Amino acid sequence: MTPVDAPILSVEDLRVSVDVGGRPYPALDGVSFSLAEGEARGLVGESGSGKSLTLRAVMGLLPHGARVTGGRILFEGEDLLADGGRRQRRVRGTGISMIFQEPSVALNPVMRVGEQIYDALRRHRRHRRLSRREARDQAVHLMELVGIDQPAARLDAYPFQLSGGLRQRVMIAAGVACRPRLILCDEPTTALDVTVQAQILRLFAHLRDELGASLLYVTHDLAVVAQLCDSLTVLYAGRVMETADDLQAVFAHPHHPYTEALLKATPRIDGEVRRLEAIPGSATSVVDRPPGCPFEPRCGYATPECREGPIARTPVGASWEVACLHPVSATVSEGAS
Amino acid sequence: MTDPLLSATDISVTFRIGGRRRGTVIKALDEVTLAVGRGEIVGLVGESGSGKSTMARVICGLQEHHTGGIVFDRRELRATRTKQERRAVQLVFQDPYASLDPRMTVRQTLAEVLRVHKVVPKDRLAARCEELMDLVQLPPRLLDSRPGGMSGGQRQRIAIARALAVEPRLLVADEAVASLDVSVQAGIVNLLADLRADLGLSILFIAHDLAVVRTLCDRVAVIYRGRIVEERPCLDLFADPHDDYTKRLLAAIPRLDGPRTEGLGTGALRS
Repeated sequence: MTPVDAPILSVEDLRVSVDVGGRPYPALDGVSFSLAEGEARGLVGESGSGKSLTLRAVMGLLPHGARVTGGRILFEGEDLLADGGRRQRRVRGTGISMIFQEPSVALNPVMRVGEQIYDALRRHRRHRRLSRREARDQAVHLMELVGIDQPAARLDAYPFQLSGGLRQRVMIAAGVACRPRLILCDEPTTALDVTVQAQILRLFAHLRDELGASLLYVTHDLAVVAQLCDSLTVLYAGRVMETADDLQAVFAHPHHPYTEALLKATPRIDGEVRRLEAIPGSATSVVDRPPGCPFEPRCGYATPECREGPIARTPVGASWEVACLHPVSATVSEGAS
Repeated sequence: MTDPLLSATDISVTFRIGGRRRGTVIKALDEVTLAVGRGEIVGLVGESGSGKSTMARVICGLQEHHTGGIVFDRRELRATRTKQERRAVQLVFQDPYASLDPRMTVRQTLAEVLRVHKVVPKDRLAARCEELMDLVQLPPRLLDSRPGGMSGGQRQRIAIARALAVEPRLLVADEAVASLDVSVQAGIVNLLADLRADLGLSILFIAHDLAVVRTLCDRVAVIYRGRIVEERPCLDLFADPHDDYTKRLLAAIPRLDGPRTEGLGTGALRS
């Protein structure tokens, strides 16, 4: 799918600092990407790469000690950061909503799940004057939408009475209650079994295709991204390493050594069995990030120039940029059928 | 298998949920039979609640109430194991952030195990600690640091070194790579493969991630609701699953080069 319309979300040179031991460190350092209407973009990287922080910055839910220090977040053309977060609060829930990793943590354990969906409905202006009966009908409808069997009976259940998959569906039902145009997904299937994950991925594909919602999908699982997303942004230590509108092209011929290394470390379910290639060393922390390429210490292609100064993103194709002095283009998908 | 290292036969474990009168009995394991050959890596895969970890506990002698028999190295294991028998089977846990003592240096952690089990004479302690670090491919200088400053991958290597300290014959890895980043996970998977090749270690690799199992294991047993539904050589099982549940499990795995997931009609979404 090629996005033709103006982007629904555009993140430009986003900078977020996080306090570590009383000192601020740039945890996001110039993150940029955009998302067209109905587009699904995968945001991938190792732990500590800044993927969740990016989502939280868009949602305006940065953790304590983190703040935006630069850049813009444009949602439907308007800067969410411009008026002290007032617009951000207005679109939260109605325009943009977020699905978290742990449904058992994100749901209120002492509130019936139906109530939690009514809450989402009532909290936002459009439905503020809903009667109880109307709210109930809408909640049932939403639970049907996300594939919950016997929704009317489940309304009165508490979260602990539901399985992990059902709880995640309830979260999604509450998340899409006000028909957001953009859904931020923070590893929503990581805590679920693989058969349940497959159902939830189908649900997201449904929301993407049928409701035309845009998805910004954070995960460490490249295969999940391959199944669900159109485009891809690879983060490492708070910087964009590789970003492209055509995900399939990147997976076939990654240009950044980091993207290549991630693909080579991923075990495969079909094709020839070969030894995995671990990435040497451990993930670079934002606290001691070198001035040059953050991946340089672990990179097989690195040269002394990689250590000097920031590496600019350069285009390597249509809507495809790589922040690397020595981009690669090996065929890593060889051997997979 | 003619002479397996470990063979567990007809293992059943039941748990009672709720009170004595009104409670229900759940069969966590239902006559499970599983063998691990000498130098073999066997995968045990299943979803949450399938009984994988209960099986790990039975094999390690941590699950007191079970029925069925376990034969290890041609000797029947009794309910109370001897020190030697306990040494022979070691467990590596999922979360290296929880399984190491944060107040102990790596050297203290390893030396404690070596001392308690009298593995080496006192004057060999330091040398043995360095050998163990070498075995798990970590620099010996980490011996005097604590887990606090270490990455998840380094911690899991320490946990494996601790398990190897008593020179076990069988390593039971219960979701030992599940909480690691893919780049780090690859290193641990390779380490386990190397340990088998170098030491002839047998490994029972318990996991929910089938792609990892396919990369590492010789044979796979699929467990569903406390029963083994299929057990075959790894590549055969992945190429041509026989059981319906195995088929469903394999079909559910996202693939890097698979077709894009399509949204279905509202009705079809029902689980």
